[in-house]
Amino acid sequence: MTHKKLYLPFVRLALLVVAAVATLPAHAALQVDITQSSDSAIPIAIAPFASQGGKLPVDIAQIASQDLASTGLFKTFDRANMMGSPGTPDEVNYKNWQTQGVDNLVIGSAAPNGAGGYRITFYLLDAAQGQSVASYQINASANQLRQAGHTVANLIYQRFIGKKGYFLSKISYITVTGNSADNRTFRLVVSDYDGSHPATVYSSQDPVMSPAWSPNGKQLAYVAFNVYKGTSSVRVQDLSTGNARTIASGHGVNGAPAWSPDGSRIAFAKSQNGDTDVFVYNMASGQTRQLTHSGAIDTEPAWSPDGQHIAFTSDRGGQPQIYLMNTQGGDVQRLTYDGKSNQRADFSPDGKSLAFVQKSGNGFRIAVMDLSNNNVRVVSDGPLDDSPAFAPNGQAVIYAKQGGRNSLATVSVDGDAKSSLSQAGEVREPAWGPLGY
Amino acid sequence: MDHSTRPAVRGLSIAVVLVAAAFTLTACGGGKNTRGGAPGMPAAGMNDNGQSNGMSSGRDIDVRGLEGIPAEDRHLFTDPNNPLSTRTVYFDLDSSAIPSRFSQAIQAHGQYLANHPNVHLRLEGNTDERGTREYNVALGERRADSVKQAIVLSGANAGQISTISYGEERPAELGQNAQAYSKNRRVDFIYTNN
Repeated sequence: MTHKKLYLPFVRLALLVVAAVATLPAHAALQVDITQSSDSAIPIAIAPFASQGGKLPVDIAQIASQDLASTGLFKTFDRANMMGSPGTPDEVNYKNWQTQGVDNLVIGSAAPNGAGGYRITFYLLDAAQGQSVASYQINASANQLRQAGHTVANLIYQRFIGKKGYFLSKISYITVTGNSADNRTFRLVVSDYDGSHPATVYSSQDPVMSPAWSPNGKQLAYVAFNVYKGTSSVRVQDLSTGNARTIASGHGVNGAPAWSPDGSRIAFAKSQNGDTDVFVYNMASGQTRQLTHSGAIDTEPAWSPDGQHIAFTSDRGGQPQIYLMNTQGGDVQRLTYDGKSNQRADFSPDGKSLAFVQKSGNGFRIAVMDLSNNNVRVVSDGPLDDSPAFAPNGQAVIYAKQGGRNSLATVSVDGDAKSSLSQAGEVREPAWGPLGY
Repeated sequence: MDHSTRPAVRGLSIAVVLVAAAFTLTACGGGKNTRGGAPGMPAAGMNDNGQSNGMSSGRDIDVRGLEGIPAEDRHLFTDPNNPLSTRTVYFDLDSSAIPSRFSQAIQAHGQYLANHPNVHLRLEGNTDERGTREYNVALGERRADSVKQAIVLSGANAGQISTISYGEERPAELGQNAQAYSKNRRVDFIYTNN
């Protein structure tokens, strides 16, 4: 073969140890289906990685390929049509790949690193030009090979999309099983971003709601009810130990937790005499302060990523709409005017967009507002969509679909690529954790 | 994804079942009250018309939601001809206003509480599934408080009544239709002993 050898400096990465989750195994993993791919999806082939020193226990290339395909932004080449699995650019027969129409090719290999783990080397190749575009090296311990596969996908994603990939991130969601209104089990579940490796972190016969990730991904805030006592509580649970602390509880409303971006405070909703307002709890001092005093419903706070503002839902003007205030409760301004009502805001990680639930006609859909010009784009199909949450890189929104089949769905922020995450039983209230690296 | 590599941990699966069973024990005291003598439909009004399916026959009284009522008084709450048997108030969409057909029942509960100052009532607010979950929790609480204020006006002491809202989390009826929705927009009366 005549191809130019480009000796690019290796990008070296050491995988961080991913914190363990104190959990019980959940019943079933979510199944991912791509329901709509972007018209401009990037075609790419990821060949099986060569292995020196026996078969790898984890198929790194397969994991990376599934990650990229799950976004709807990549069109991955079927492995069954691949000829060979070269480990280095020298072993690549570019003509073979060219005749298959493959432009972007990823190859790689894994070898023992002498410390009980593996050194994984991989290359992004321009098969049409017959040259190496980039090369990377990852060191992973023996039990980190799945994370290594996700890291391969993160690096390729970043190369093409220009944003960090979210394939090492976690999501949390609520599942509900049981056929009658009287006899149901609620589970708070944490899984990989794609629903794989689910683990139950809390379960109850009584309702569990509103999971919210701490900014560092080590804790989850959520709402748990005690139906026997007639109380609700906002809990903060440490995922590695399972220890939980209650930051608000009692009769009436104690709900809707939202972390400040520095993790020092949690905004939440609490009722007094039937009227729900937004409060802030300080994690260090244990003090609670009331932010809204409207006499209307004020709930569903969401902290802006710069820490300066809190968006919230209020029906002070009649129908529920989204308002913005500063973190002292002042400078209140209404943000939404489109549709019949707008509820439950979530800021994009860059703070430039807001996702929320918009009611129009007879349906509830996910809408994304550009905060620079207040333009609103509806990105989901309804009729009963809820709980939007931005991916930690801001490129997708995960949300819940209600009605008939209760499942989760993701949509790229431009609305072009869609996938669903489903399992037997009801899945609701997704929350997307930090990038994880 | 990658289902085949999921470890089979049988011992831990059993632990899940045991945790669930423990919650069942603590949860059965309150909550869902399928009671005899309650109005079967919101439109049926405050008096039940013989739909009590035999529950009012003494020994078979369903005490769910009546644990805090002295045993000798429970028949009052299950007799379909007694306004106390109405222990659910239903609401219009997005509304916390109590429909007038529940006035007599509200008054009866207020008077009973006034005459029994040691009895405690919990009002549980609920909504249908439309709209966002936490907003619905707040709406259910507003409904529960609306009923509480009305019962206090009828003579009860505010300290006898507590409220909780489950929003759309505890529907009386599952289903995505107007009938299920109308049964889920409600406040349930739970006479507790805790």
